[in-house]
Amino acid sequence: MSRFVLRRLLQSVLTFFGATLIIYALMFSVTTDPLQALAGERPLSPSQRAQLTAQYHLDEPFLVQYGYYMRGLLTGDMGRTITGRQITDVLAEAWPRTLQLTAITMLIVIVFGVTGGVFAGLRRGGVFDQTTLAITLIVIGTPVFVLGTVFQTVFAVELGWFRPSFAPELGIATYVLPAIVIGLLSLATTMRLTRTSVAENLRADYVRTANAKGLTRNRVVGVHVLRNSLIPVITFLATELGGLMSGAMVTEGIFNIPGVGGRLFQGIRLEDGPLVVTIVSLIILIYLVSNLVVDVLYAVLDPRIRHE
Amino acid sequence: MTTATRQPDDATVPQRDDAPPAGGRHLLEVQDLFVEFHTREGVARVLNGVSYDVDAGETLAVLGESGSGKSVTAQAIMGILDVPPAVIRAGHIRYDGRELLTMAEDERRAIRGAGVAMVFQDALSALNPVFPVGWQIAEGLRVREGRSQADAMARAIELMDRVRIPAARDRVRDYPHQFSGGMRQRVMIAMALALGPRVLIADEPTTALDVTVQAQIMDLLADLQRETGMALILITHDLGVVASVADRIAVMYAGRIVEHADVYTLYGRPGHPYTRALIDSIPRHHGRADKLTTISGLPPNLTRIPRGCPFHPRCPLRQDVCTTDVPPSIDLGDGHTSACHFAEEVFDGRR
Repeated sequence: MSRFVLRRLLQSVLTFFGATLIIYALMFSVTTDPLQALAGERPLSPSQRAQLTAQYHLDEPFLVQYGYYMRGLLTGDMGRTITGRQITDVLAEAWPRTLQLTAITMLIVIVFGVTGGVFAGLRRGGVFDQTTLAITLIVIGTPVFVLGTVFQTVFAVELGWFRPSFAPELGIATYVLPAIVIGLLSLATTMRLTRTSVAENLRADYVRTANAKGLTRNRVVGVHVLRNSLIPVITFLATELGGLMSGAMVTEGIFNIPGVGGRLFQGIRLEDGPLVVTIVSLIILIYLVSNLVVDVLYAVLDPRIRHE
Repeated sequence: MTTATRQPDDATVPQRDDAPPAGGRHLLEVQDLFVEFHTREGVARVLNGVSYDVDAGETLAVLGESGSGKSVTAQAIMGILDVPPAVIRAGHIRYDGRELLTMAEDERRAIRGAGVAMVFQDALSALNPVFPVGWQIAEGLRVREGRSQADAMARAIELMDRVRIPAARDRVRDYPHQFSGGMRQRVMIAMALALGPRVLIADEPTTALDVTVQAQIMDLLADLQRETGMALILITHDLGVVASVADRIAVMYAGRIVEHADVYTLYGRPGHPYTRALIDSIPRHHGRADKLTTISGLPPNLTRIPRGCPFHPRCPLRQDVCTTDVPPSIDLGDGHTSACHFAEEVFDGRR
């Protein structure tokens, strides 16, 4: 097991460098004149330009620039945004918001997705199952930005149940509507996955064996069926974590939440290379870690999978 | 001991041809059981009046091809049929004189495992893949008998020793997939024995195993039965397997018991053409390898069971009456019955 984790860690390191290199190259190629962008409307004198070029290593070859950047990142110096703010400061402010949003989203997904899926799976073909099946189909087919705008208009503007945009004075309550929007797709997928998994496991031979032992239905379902059914669900949820964070990007934009996603959104519009690369690198890191966790989790949940 | 095949409208009560044991009842008794499965293709008449019984210390082998209804009867006894699609149309199942089919679910559950336990065919899928075997053996003891975790585990190790799993203490925490097929089947047996059942139903316990392991498992079951004095219902399609362990054999075909006799009579003087064909199809190990004898045709589709005797399309002795009338169960003496219009002639060797 520990050898497996070690190998996966090494793979993750390679993936991390490869992915950040690609992001860096992409950002490098789309940025026309970062110094002019930094200066905004003001003209830059040749001496200023020369000094800034040296400061940001802009005359060096691409790979050397990437090297400088990674060295900074790994020593904890994320550098500055193009407007001169410490990226560390920007993230320190934005990160907690995105984390709270993601946590609430995950909570909604788990509570409603898993519970709904279990109920639908236990009574497959019943009214609840049929209804949720139809609704989840619609949700899965709707893009997040449509869902976000519709929910904002209906539940916040028209009905007034929520605030249409970020209101820090409300505390976590302000994240509920955006969290529903982000989580709905995952919730629908989780529900369908749980439903299928429960329904499938109910028909498994070991359930018949458990019944033959004279166990109550609650125990058969609650212990034997659930323990097996939740293996794919838990691993799905762990991989979804990264997806939820990037899904937060669009939604944070719609609801004006100044989280990491919002900053990234802004960074892309302003061609803020350092900020975009740093945030995307962080998202990659989260993906990698959650994938590693999934692989380890699989072995813990399903004893048939052993990573030798 | 009676085995009868009847139609539901048949009003006569089957006559017992020997004195019932003390107390006037059998330990486990299935009587005129009719079960249907409602499927998209129509109603499959899976059991059409099955009757058999078994008492403590004896072994009844239930023999038949796939789809003859042997496992469905067992699942009906255990009360683990999937209802729907299964529907129990008529009949009785009595355990220790108590009718199981009309019993409250709680009472019935108390009999499962502790009164009547079952060993399933494919131990790999019948065991829960995510729990250690010891945990699964101990589960019944903890939940049903309220034993402590430690106590139940100690008992699980004893049970694993008893079914001769080597190094039971070290293997109690292993998972089902870590055992060989034979050892897994032993785990299943240990699990079935946990609550000390008075009747053990073994549903094709050796089918998934290779021949040497089959013999070991059969020996184990026979030994366990001798030690505990429990009744054993052995479901199989393999005539070779039952010969050495069974006291009596009930042969099933299309959801009926077509013949019932003690082992020696059944092998020596079968009273039903189907049984005779089954015995003829056992591969012999002497001489050069000839073509294997088979029974021509296929078992009937249970949604369209032929009129008359369900075996008539495949029967070499078929007469006109076989295509129109369902044969009654004919008593050939000493508890030997055969549901064939010509049972006596077959039995006497005149046909």
